Amino acid sequence: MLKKRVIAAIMVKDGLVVQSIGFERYLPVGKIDIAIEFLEHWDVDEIAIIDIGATNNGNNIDFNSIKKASKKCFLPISAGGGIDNIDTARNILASGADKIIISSAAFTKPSFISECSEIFGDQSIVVCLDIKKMDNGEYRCFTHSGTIDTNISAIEFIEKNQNYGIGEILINSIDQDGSKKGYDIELVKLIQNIATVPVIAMGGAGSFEHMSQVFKETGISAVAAGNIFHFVEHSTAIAKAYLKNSDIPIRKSHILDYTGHIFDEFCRVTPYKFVDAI
Amino acid sequence: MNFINKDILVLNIGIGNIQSVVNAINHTGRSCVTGSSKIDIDAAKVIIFPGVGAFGEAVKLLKNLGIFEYLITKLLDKDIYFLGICLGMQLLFEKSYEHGTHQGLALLEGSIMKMDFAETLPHVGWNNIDVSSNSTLFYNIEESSDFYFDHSYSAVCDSSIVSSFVDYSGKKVVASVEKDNIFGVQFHPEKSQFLGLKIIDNFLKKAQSA
Repeated sequence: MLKKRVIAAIMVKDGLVVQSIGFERYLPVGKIDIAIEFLEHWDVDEIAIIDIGATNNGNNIDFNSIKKASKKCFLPISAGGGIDNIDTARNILASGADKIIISSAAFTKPSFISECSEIFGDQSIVVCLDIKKMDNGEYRCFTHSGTIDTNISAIEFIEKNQNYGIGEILINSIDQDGSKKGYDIELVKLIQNIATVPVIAMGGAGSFEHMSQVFKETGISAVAAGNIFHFVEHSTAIAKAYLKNSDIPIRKSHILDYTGHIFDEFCRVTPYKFVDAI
Repeated sequence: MNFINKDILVLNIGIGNIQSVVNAINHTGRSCVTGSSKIDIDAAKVIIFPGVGAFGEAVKLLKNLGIFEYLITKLLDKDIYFLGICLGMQLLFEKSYEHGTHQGLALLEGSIMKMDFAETLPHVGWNNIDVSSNSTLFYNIEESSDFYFDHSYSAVCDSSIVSSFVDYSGKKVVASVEKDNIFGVQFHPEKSQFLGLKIIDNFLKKAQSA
């Protein structure tokens, strides 16, 4: 059976991993390769590296950081930020990433997704939609780190484009970003209902219960989170154990396995207490 | 026999995740080279062909490099051990229906078809496999282990060459093939952490002992 995935999102700005809050404030966390090394040891299922400054600065994501990171990482990596041409996409894949994440270019260059898919295959293309809920309730796509309104609704974009080269859709809620209030379940449900490609939810995870909730209520393929994974030891292994305890099908761990433990409100393992003992 | 520098060739045709496969081979304690020329192929005892990409594009590149026919001749020889990963495995078959119809290397009988039966494509993520008893690749690997998959097309072929299946959307999908000197995996061992590295090690050990 196909397992549900826990993806660690590594947000990068000016070469450093950052915590992002509402697409407006950024707190430095540390170096990319160190973050990846930890996450790999903590048994995460996949890593997504997103350079959030790249489009606005006119830069591309730094290939060397991916190359360095992938040397010790035997997990799937997707990477993006400012990708708007085939050469950049090719370089990112050649550096050790398995998938490219396309965001702004999906709107500024409408044929770009299908061009990439013809060369690299649909399965290598993740489209990241930064979505904001408008006053009239419409979920609308924004680009350039949430600063430019595309005037295109998320539903319209997906229905029109998903059969033309998209491998996965990463939905990033601008409203929930950094809020710790949980995923926007309404948004995720709407998209999961119309999507024929795997959907990943991102934005707002403040506890592992939020992850369990979004899996149970929407049936999506994967959850992604950034902030929550950076500040707790063994965070991703604990998240997976929590989900397993909640009967979500999760990949069996070969490194760190906390299945059966219980966790406190700060997502830490509570020593010597087990689910069965409650 | 121990491998020396040019014995292991990671075939680099300009698409695909070359670096990860090189990293994985290095992690098993072996060195390797990357390349795509006839000279590289001549020097190799083992060829690993990683695959991220579209079938037609890969065939075109192999032909442009002038190694499409050469690879077939070399592999028929049975002196070279070959491991195809994902698209690298699919290219071993006769034809593929990905974005049109394309002829493959035809070293294995069968074709590559879209997994139309599935509600969601691609099949992406960690999924457990069922291994047949006489597999080389899965030696000492626990039954029902999870590996990382990412594909929309899969091989349709006689089960005699299939060494493992994966269940997706209620259908049995080919996860790996093994025939003489030719091996292929639909999943990504270089991206499947510890167990994936073990598969690469199993393959290289087999090639070493040949």
